[in-house]
Amino acid sequence: MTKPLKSLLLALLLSATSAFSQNSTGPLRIEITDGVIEPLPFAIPDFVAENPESNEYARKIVEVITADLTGTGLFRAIPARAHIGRITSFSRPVEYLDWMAINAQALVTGSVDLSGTRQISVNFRLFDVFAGREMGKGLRMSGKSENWRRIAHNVADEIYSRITGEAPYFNSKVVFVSETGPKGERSRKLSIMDYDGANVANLTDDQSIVLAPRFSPDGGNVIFTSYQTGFPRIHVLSRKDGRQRPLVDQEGTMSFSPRYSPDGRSVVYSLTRGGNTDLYLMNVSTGASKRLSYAPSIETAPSFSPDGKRIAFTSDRSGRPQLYIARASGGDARRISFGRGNYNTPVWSPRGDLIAFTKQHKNRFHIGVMRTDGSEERLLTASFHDEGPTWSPNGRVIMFTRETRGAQGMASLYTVDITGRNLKRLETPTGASGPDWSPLQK
Amino acid sequence: MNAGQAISGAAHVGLIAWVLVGGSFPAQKVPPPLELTEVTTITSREFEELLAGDVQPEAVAEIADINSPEAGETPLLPEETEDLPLVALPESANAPDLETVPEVETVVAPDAEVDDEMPILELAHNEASHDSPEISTKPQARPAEKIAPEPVAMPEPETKLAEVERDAVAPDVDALLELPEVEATASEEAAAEIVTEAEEASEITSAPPKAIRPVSRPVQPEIDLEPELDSSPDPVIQPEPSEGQPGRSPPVENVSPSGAPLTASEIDSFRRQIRRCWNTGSLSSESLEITVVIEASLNESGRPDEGSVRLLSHDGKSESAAQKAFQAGRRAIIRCGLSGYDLPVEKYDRWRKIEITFNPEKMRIK
Repeated sequence: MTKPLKSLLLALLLSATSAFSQNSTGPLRIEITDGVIEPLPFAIPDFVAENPESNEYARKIVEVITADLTGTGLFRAIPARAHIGRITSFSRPVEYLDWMAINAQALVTGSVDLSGTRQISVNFRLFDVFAGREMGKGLRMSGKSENWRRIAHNVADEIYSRITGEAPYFNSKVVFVSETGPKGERSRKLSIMDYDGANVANLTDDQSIVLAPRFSPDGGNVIFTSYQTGFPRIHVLSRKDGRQRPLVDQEGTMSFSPRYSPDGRSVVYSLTRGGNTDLYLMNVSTGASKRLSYAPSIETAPSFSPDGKRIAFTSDRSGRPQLYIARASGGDARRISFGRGNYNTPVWSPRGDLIAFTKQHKNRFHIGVMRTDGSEERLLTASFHDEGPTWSPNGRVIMFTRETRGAQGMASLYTVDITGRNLKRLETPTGASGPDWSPLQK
Repeated sequence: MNAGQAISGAAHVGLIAWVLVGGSFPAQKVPPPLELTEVTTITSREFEELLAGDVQPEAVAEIADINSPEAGETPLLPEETEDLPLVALPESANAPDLETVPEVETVVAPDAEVDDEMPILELAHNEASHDSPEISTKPQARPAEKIAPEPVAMPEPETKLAEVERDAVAPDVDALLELPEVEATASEEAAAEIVTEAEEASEITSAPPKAIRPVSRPVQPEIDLEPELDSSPDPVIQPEPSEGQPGRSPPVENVSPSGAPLTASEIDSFRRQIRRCWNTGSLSSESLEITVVIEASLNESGRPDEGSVRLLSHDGKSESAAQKAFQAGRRAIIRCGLSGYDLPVEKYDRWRKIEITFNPEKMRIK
């Protein structure tokens, strides 16, 4: 082939490549594979107070909604002083240009009405500013005025889901161990609070040590490990009447690390008998237990998959603690963690796609996630002592315990997004550890 | 020999003999004044006790009452005594007189010696390597709120953040054209990767020491001793077109009504303009699995018609998740096209309709 001919062919090839994205009559076609990841700016002007009594509620509800959305790390609230537009009536059309000018990509408007019977009604609408249209229909939420925080969480949940497509999680609770006193003689009691640290209430006194509380799937009961008798025993507490009773009470044994099955009918736990620790499954209604593992090693920290068919747990049968998955009936156990260090406390994501765990390696503790086959391990945190992850109801956020170094070190609760971003400390009135996130409240 | 010579010779010999011999006899010196020192006479026993240093004090029969100081009188010691610097005090005999102003010696700098030949620096590579640190710290990625394909350095603290970067325009008295005063803007700081806490806490590594760049031999500049004066103007440098400046496309003559196809660089420029507004940060992991194809119409100034933006297709299993992915793409097209996309006007027929595939494969949570 001669040189001019080669050049001609090359030129033809290049022109064909550049014209590939558009033919002579069709549209210009392009593909974009990378964008940006940044918090979405939104505006939420003060909700319209329908009467003077609802002024205070209107202000507080907007505060809670803003805190919920910005707390995810996915949204950024545009401060009110930057707003150009004013919302003076809930039903008045929105001037989109005013909100486009301040780059608000979403706009939330609302109104609050407090009736004479202390019933509060909150209306809200959500707008896609740049598309110039409403996202979904306006909603009204009502309830007793003392439940205004819960109503605010519900509004925030709706906004969050409409924009992100994720399931909601703001209207949820966290049960945890409240800790006071120095490290050596610390007193512990069970406490419960809103997911954001508000409305803390104690469930038990501090007469005996309590550990590892877990919600039942309907959120009505809390199962935990108590040292009331001096030995660890599994107890169950009803949130309705506050009563508690031992669930596993076998002489000469120690039972701990309980967790409900997704249908709430069974509890899987660890039981130490004769120096050997294995997994057991108890039928809650009959109290009958079935042994799931028969290894001479320590099997503990079991957690059900969301479909209830499998169990993730920790075993040191390989010489050091590693993560395993087995059938819920106990068979077919296989190891899924193969990294360096010790792995512990596996917790299955509510979505079923990931397992969160605690990892200890080179005197550092990490909270991490991996696929259920052990692949794609990612460490999200690193500190002197992180442990005990629990998932938000939508599987997007992980809460865990972080303890600081030294005799004066205190335990606190932290949250982190599964991307590894937005690590935050949760404010609690006392030290806090062993959190368990409830299902979404109804 | 005459008498004069004899006398002269004798006188010279005598003079030489006096110089040689007479100098050896010391002149009578004046005795120095007598120095007196007071001494104490002690016995040999006392001298031994002094050397032993264990002379016991005599016992005192009566001890006077010791008044314990009041608490308030206790002098407070400095708290951080160990931090006090050790200062070597000068001996009193050598202490300078503070009132005496030392004479300042004026040094006249010698004229620099000018050598026409440029010296060649010879740096030994081995010596240079001694300066390198033995352990280098692993460079850490800095977490930023915005993750973008092209990292952006942190802007000046007082610079306003905006999508389009621009320099500040200040009023100029001498300017022919009066331009409106414009505040400088800069893009928000962005990182190219998500930095988790686990990655932030990286340890000091035993990575190999910093490599020293080989020293190149300095090149002697060629100096034109008699430069010729060139009266012709400097060649105009044509800058590369930048984003966001409309009307920069070179005019093309004799273009067919449909216009020539867009070049690869024009298409790439258009792609860059949209992708900086495609924010997937608020999308669910399910929506991040979905590729959507969105159609839109642009007017001649490159601005999208909001009503024309519609979802053509998607590959998701959930319609709801696909809608969220579509909304993110629609926001990107409209938001970045508010002031019109930078596209060649003469090729309008080629881009009056656009079809954009938003494929989030690089934006997924991994």
